[in-house]
Amino acid sequence: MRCDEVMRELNLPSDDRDDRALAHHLAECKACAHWAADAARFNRLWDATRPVDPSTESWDQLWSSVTARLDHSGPVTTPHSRPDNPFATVGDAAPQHSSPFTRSWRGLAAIGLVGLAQAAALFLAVNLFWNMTVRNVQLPRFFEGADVVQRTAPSLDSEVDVEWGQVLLIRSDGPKVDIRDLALLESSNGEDPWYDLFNSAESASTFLAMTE
Amino acid sequence: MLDASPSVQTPDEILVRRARERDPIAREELFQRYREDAYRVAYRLLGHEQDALDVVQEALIKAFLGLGDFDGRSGFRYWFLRIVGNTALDWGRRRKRRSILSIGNGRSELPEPACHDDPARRLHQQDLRRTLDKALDHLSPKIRTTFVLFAELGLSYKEIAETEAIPIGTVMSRINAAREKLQQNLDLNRDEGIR
Repeated sequence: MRCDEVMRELNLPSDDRDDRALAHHLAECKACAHWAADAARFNRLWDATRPVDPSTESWDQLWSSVTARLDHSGPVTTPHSRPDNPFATVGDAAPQHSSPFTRSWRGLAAIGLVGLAQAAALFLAVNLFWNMTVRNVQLPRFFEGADVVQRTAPSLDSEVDVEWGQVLLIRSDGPKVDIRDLALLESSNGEDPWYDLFNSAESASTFLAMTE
Repeated sequence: MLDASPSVQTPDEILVRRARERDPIAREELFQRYREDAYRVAYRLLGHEQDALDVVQEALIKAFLGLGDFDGRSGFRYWFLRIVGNTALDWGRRRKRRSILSIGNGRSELPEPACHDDPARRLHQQDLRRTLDKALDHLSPKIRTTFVLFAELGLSYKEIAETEAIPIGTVMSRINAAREKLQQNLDLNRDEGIR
């Protein structure tokens, strides 16, 4: 086993772990042995700080609060009628009685929202018109006949979510975009994964490596 | 002699269907099944017992009110744990804001002690928890949640992927990153209590 495989095995245990090979490597490699000892200490720390289960009274109290709130709420939502969003920011799930002041405030807020939406639509329309006008503008005369080179950056149609700790290779080959996580590089067909990766990078017309 | 036939557990799907029809027994059964998982996740994300209980309560209300949104593609357990995770993170953000506002009022935001009879052991446990909570705080919310599901509940990569609705590769990346960062941030050699 290589050091990177050992580290990976320690961080992300797999079902088909080769314990003998792992032990052999740890006996030979000081750096990996140190990492393994730290990992074992960390596991012990995690176990030593496991939460104590709440008492039965705490659970009973909690459940009665939940049932009280559920009893005050309306019927359970169905996919066709969803008055409340369960994933919304924490707040009172049960509808509250609103005072006249709250109602008038809500009315004002609604009017404000409509106004904002209209302003946004107007802004969008002006922006669109402006962009279309600018694009139709002719180039100045001295540009005519000149060797104008247009360089376009590779574009991605979809968003790429880069996680912390990921090293991504984003490789475009025409309209097709290939994304690989270099932190989890695995060999395919018995080839060295890095050899495979460099081949892939070499054959790409454009690529961009990103990390976070 | 008593009949020793094994008790058959009602599947979650049936309980969920009954809970949608406001059956209190089905709701309570689901609560009994998953309350501990929920509490452990919330506790690890917030590092505070009372906050964790509040989050479980809030998540249960959200889940039962939003059962219509549950499409059954993933199990109820995973769907519920996702709500717990999101609620805990939301709670943590609000708590952070609260603690910024209350700086200087002399109130401590330290976690409450666990119930141990031996005061020395309790103090030591508190120390360890504070150390670990500090290290966990350095992780991004997404990575922390993934790692907690892995380390605290022992969910498989596939189960975490279902819970968080992310690819398995992302789950593995996050766990790997969390482990590296936690081990780097914690001075494991210095803390004698961990040996």
